[in-house]
Amino acid sequence: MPIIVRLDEMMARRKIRLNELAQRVDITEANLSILKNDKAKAIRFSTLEALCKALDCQPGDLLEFKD
Amino acid sequence: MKNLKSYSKFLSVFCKFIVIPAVIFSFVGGWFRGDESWNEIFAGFGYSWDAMDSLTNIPTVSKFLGMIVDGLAYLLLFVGIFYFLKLLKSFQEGDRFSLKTLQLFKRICKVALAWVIYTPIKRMLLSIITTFFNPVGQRVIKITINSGDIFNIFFVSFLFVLASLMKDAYELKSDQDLTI
Repeated sequence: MPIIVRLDEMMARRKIRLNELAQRVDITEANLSILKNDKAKAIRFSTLEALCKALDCQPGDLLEFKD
Repeated sequence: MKNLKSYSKFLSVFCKFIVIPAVIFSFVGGWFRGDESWNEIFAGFGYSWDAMDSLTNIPTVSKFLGMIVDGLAYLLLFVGIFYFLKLLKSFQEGDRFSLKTLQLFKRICKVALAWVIYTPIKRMLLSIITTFFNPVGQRVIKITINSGDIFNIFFVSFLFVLASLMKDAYELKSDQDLTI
């Protein structure tokens, strides 16, 4: 898929674990894992907003387009 | 969702306690109606048989072959009802658009198609079998397609359309499940 999710990089930078992030963002660990492993087909704006708030970053830090 | 579960439960009970006994009754009634005791039972229920030749005087060989030919159609019907009951059970468990329900629905469509194709063939074979030992000039080969068959073709086509819709629904649900 051309859109790559850089969630693991941001999590490493902010030193936050998956289960902690899942609690902060109010998403299940399973769903967060799907996102982290580039298996997601789409992401809601509400989820993106929650992730950006929790990781203190911009959407561009999380999503990258690679053709 | 609650409605789907209720309807599925009702249909499941209806199939198990009304449809299956009716189908068995129909098969037994068709092939054993020559027997006096069976005739009394069926007369009491006001049961009428629609179209088959009288089975009271046909030889045992013909009766046996006829039961096999007719039984195959009933077997297809039972297989279809079995898959339908499995599908209803999935709906009752909350599983609507999954690979399992899609596959079950496709199987129901295939069985229904086989049944629709086989019904006129069965009619022809039964006409041969039941009149095979008749004197020359009284043997019959029935090749018929009636309005019931036309309706069945329409119904099976509709089932295939539904199967296609279910496939789309399954793909949409899969996408939805992978939307975080």
